[in-house]
Amino acid sequence: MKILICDDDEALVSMVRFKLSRENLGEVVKAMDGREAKMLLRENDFDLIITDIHMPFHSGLEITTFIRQELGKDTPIIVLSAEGLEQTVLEAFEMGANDFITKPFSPAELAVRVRRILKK
Amino acid sequence: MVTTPGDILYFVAQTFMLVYAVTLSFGYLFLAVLSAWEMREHIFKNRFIDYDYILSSPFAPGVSLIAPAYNEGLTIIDNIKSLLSIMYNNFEVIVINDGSKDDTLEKMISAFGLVRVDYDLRNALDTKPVRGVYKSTNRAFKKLIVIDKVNGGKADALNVGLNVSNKELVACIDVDCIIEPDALLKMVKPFLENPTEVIASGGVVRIANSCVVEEGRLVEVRLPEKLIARFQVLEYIRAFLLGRMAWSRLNGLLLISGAFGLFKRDIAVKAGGYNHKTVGEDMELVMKMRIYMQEQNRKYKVAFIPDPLCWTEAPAHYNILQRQRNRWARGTYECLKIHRKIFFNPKYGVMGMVSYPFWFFFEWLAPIIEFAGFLLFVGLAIVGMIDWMFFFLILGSGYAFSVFISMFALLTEEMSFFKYTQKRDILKMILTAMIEPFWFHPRVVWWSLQGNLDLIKGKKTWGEMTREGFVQYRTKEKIVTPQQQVA
Amino acid sequence: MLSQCIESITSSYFGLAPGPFLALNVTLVFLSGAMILIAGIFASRILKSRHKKLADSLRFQYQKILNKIVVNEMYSEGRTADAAFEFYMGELRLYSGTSSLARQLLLSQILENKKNLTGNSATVLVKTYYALSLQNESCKKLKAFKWQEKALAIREFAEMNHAQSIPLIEHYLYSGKQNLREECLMALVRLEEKPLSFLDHYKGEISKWMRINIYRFLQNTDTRRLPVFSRYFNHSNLSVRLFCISMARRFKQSSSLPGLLDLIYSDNAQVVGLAVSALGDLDAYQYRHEIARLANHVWRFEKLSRKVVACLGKIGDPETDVGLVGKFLGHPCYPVRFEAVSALKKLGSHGEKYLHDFNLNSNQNIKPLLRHFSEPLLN
Repeated sequence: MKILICDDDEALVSMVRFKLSRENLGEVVKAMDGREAKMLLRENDFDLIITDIHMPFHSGLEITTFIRQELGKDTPIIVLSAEGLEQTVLEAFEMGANDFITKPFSPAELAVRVRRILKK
Repeated sequence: MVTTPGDILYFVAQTFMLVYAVTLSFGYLFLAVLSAWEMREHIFKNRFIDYDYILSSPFAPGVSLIAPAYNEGLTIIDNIKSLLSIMYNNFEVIVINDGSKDDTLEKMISAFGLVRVDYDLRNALDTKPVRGVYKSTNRAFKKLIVIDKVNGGKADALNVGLNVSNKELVACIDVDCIIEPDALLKMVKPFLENPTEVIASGGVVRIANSCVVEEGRLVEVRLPEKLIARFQVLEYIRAFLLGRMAWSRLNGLLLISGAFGLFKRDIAVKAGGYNHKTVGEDMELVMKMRIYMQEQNRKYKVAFIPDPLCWTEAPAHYNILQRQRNRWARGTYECLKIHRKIFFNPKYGVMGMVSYPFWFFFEWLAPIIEFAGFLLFVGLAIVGMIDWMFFFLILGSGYAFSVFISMFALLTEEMSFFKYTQKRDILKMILTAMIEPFWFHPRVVWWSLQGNLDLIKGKKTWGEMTREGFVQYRTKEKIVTPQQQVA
Repeated sequence: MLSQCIESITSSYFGLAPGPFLALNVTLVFLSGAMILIAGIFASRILKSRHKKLADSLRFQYQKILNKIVVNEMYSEGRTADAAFEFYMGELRLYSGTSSLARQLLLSQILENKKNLTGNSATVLVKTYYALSLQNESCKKLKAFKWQEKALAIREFAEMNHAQSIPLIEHYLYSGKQNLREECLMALVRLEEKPLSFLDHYKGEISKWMRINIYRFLQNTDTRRLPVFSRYFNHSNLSVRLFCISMARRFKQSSSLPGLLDLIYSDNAQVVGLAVSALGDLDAYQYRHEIARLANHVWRFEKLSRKVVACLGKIGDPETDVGLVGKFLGHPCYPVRFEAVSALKKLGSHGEKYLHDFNLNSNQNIKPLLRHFSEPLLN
């Protein structure tokens, strides 16, 4: 399994990568900003994408639209963001996200959701 | 000893020049030190602010981004897309097509799926007729409003934006400027602080020449390759970091850059909106808003954010730069003339007693006095009255002061935002600062003078500002400059 | 001429006339100043890159260990987990040593991680803070001279739930430095046993920025522990009153409704306006008569008129209040007329009928407004 995590928070990326690899959920690739994310998405096939919303260059919602419309893929997407406004959550689902987790979050909960989505 | 009228004249002129130069220098030095101190405080304060909290808050004020566009067909789509992706929740982007002669409007209609809507124009301010208001049928672009109007100039277009907006704050920007994603968050914050009401906040404009730009977003900061652009980088760093920061602290800031400023909409409208009779409409609006608040006896502040939030393409040819400086000189004079009632008028506080006089004597008058000094020198040289050693020492001290202030600016930039990270960049900037007083400054003085002369002749226009495209655009993997794109 | 000049300069320094002497001094002062600044630029750059290298490598090491600490909590099996925890503490102690800079970097790395986490993962980071006696670092900073250090210390206490620090920090609530006041305010919000009890005697300002920060924090807590905000509706501090009204509104505290009703009779326009908006958002249908009565007195005030009309649009009676709202279609201020059309649209078929009749019979032109409201893309 190949998972992509897009977030500019280095500490969070490091911790999530560690957690998911400890859970044997697959190889976790990181993208620190929207540009890197788009580049990696074009060149690789991922089984799951975990993305923040607010990142340099392209937001997580733009990345979600990019995956669904431009690349035409139905890869599961989990949005992991500090922004919990109702309107944003709805927008994320409208654009094609499969799940939305607000920060601060529990890594254990994230792992459970990832496992559940990958099983599907 | 017999003193001739000539001797007296010489003495008076020389003393005046010296007193002027010394006062000017002390003024700049004071502003520089105050700015540097304020900058330090600002950097420390920034460490405690999590701007993202504004992002996800229902208390964040609404913002309308108003961007007039004229013949921007080449880059308008990318520019709008990058504006729409700015990090903020409660905002809209109002693009005003000011009667463009190219395909700006058609491109927008096509790219964003725009359709005409029946928008009730409030018309709080008088403007040239609006031909249509457009919204997108695509939900992804629901924040965008496009207005098509009869050509009327930048000020007129901005006033249409003020009419259409129903948000609390308006950000007036140049559509071709690259705005940082967190710019609105940073610019909005002063409006959230008590107790003095903030009526406007201004940002710093940085030079984007030679920077790498992709899809309307700044990807990599680079020092401009051309010397002319580097001179402007130095000028902008000096003006923004060592000037405006201090003025903001003194609550005497008169100028917010037209490329990026945030205003309280109702006060801007009550003050009368943008004045389309002047080419310095950005400065004129700030002065007008301040005067309005002063006359209402309301306490207020004009804030300034030193973070680099807006990047623009600087003129890369001397003739285009000349037109810009010509316009700035005319704009400064027109603003000072329109609001001359506040000159040394205690009713208008710091603005009337300090800012306006400073702008009058040391910003507007300076090139004229410098040129007069030059003429005096030539005249004295002809009659053989020059004390050459004194002359060269005076010149030397002027040069030394100029280089000192430039180094101060570069050090402030180094210790604050540190945008030019290559080692050779800093060497290039130091060399640029050393050449500037000879190679660039005299031209700026000359262009300002021409601007003033043109005023006397009755010139009113903006002049043509052709887009040269010295910002690199990366499309796909190739680095392509706009000229190549057009070809 | 030039050789004369050079000769004069190179000859006795004190042979210069006062003018040139002064000019020469000025030149030398600014040139040396410029050179010092250039040296400063390079020194700053070198120091920055050195510090960055050290900081990056330490942060990398810390993060590796913190990852293990945060994740291992999942596998808590009694002693094994404790032993593992102690082992990691030992590792962190080794890397941070006695260097103040290293310990501060560790502290900031812990904070950076904690702000992303909840539950056991966050708790174990707090445990780490105390196990490494990092609260001593925070205490040291609190006694420092620079306000930045104090503010950082207050923030650290707040993040790490160090409630014992309250007596040490509460006097900063009235500090001359804005940042210290704000950090202290947030710390009290986070640390107090009884949430927001400091408001009882608070005499300072609560700016919109602080409102944003406090609201964000309170949203993530158990809202059942929040005080009934109406107990502060008669506070002597206007800032506190306004803050509490807006909190009652956002948290939809129906227990504050009677208090909100009393506030619409206040002599402060801001209070009245906020209370009216709150009543609208809380669907206080039972108070619509009072709001309607108020509507008859606010015509002169643009902002208040807008808020009252908006409120009636939400809770007004479609049959009896339509006429009252409709009056505002003739208000001199455009935003009020706009709000009136919006409110009438919300009052169902009665509102629509009123608009239709008004459009036909009145000489006031509201056609552009009606068209605006019929545009699906604009609403």
